[in-house]
Amino acid sequence: MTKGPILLVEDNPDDQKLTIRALKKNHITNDIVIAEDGVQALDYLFGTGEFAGRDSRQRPALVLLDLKLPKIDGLEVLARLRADERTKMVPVVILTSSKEEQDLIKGYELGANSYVQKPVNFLEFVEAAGRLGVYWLMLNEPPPA
Amino acid sequence: MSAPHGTNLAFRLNSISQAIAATAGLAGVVVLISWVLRLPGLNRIHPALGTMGSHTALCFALASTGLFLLRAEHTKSWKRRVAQALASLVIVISVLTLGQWYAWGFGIDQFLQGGIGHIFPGRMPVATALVFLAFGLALLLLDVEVRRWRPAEFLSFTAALIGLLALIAYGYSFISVFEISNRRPLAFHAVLLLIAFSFGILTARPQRGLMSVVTSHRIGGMMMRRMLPAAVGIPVLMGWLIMEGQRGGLYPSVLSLSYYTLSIIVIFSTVTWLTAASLQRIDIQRQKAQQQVRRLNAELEQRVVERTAQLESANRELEAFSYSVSHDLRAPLRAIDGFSSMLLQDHRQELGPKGEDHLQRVCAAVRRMGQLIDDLLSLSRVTRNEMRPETVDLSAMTNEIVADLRRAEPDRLIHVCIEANLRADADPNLIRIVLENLLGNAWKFTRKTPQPRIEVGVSRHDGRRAFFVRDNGAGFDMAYASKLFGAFQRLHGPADFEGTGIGLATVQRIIHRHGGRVWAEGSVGQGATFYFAI
Repeated sequence: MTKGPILLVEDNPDDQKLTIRALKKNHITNDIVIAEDGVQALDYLFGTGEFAGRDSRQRPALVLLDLKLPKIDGLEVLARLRADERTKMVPVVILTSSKEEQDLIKGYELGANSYVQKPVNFLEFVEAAGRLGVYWLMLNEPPPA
Repeated sequence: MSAPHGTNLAFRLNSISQAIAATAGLAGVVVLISWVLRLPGLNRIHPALGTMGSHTALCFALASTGLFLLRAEHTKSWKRRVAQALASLVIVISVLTLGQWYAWGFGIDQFLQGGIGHIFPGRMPVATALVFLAFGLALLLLDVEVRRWRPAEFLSFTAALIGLLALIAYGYSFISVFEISNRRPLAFHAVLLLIAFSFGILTARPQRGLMSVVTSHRIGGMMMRRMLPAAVGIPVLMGWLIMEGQRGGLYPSVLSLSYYTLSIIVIFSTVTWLTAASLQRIDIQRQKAQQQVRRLNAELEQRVVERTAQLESANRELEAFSYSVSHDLRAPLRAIDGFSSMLLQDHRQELGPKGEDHLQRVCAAVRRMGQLIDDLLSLSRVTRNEMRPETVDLSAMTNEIVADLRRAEPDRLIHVCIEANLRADADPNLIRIVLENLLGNAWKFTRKTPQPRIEVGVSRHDGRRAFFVRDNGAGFDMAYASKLFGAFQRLHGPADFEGTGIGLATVQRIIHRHGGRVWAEGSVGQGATFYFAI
């Protein structure tokens, strides 16, 4: 299993809880770091702001990125993350409510590795989270550090 | 506008032409009878005004009959041939007469009656012969037109000028000018008939060649109708007045030409001035109208720009709205479902069977709401995306969709009959949604039918091709047919057949976007047929 934390970028506390539970249900034991908006997410990734001093060379194993976020939205986070040497190869899965065509296109254009719509049905959500975990944290070979 | 004016005038002129042909023909026959039966008196009005010769009378009869036969432009071929034969006869008589006067004697003047002394009453005066030669040729060439120029018109003008010369001479001096030059006088009534006949040939085709200017409802026609009678009438009238004045001794004869010239200058200047003034008025009105049109156009363009901007902004708002619906409406649902599921998983014991049932219902309602949101979004997407129409093979598309339906429910045995080569010009993505909905409905509503059957084909309705999807399923009451295509309208309870009531609304929206029509026929328990024409 790939070590390193999962960065969950999600502003909705319900969804945070549901996602964490879904991951736990699937026995994914990685640490889960929560960023509640785009600014926090970037601060964490680059060791700035409230995360000043964090070693930014410690990359998360996976970023689960919501699109609709306060301050800086998900697509902007994705763009900045891909533009930076330190984080350009981090696997990013967009995990969001919408499957609007424009979001899909922009997400992939900016270099998302996957795009998953959060199902309304919790059982389906749990299943989706499990598959994501298995694929990105076990099956997939991460980029060399 | 005044387009019918030109047509009306043309119609009246054509009637005048017919009346002239009838009058000249009748006069010719009467005179001819008087010669043959030797009834003097019928061939002249007054001894001083001369006698119409028998050949002149004959030519009038022939030419008039010809003109009368040719009165309609698209006349029957036998009439045309007879008229041409008559015209040729007129030409032969006039040419032979001219020959008789100047060179060879064929004895044309002995035809019909012998000579009396040295006077040959049959022989036409030279001028008359020339005029009839022109008439004969004009009738032969009546419908010949070379780049808007009609020879018949020039021949008629020539004839009219000869006639006019004779008439003016009669008017001014009560003598025939041709009496002096050609030994035979032209009868006064013959001259009148000749001029009238020239007019008759001109007016036989009022909307062709130069005559089209006369009958035009445009400004040129107006000017022509105002100036031409003046141009012909005024010099004649003034000439007569000046001559009378001279005869009455009002002024010495040496001055009469000067007076005449002066009066013509004054009158024509006045007429030209008046006409120019009215043309100017019309031109100013036209310019005003043009300016108004230009202003209206500019206003219209401005309005289009504004409306487009409004529409674009409305569209953007709509897009933002659906985007927000898509993102924000789902999240609370997910929370309701998620935490209900957690309750069910973690606290089943405390809930008891009743509490569990309630929570199950909450979850079912949430899922249904989620489905509604998805369907509503797909309905709005149908109208937002750009259309790219092409020729679509509906038969192949139907086959694919049916294969998908069979894969989803492999244990359902449905007989599906698809007509081959169904083609339509449509956006392939959108028309696929239509077929998916209609076939999905047919699939769904035949669930309780013992021998389910779905048919896809094309038929004719009001002369238009209409594709149809027919099933023998649950059907519907035609009384509710109008409600079928409304969003969220359902004719069956969710216990009987599941669904959100968005499918047919989507179908209708897509068909309307294609400028088409969709409708349904059916009855309860007998199945339904959905038609769409695009």
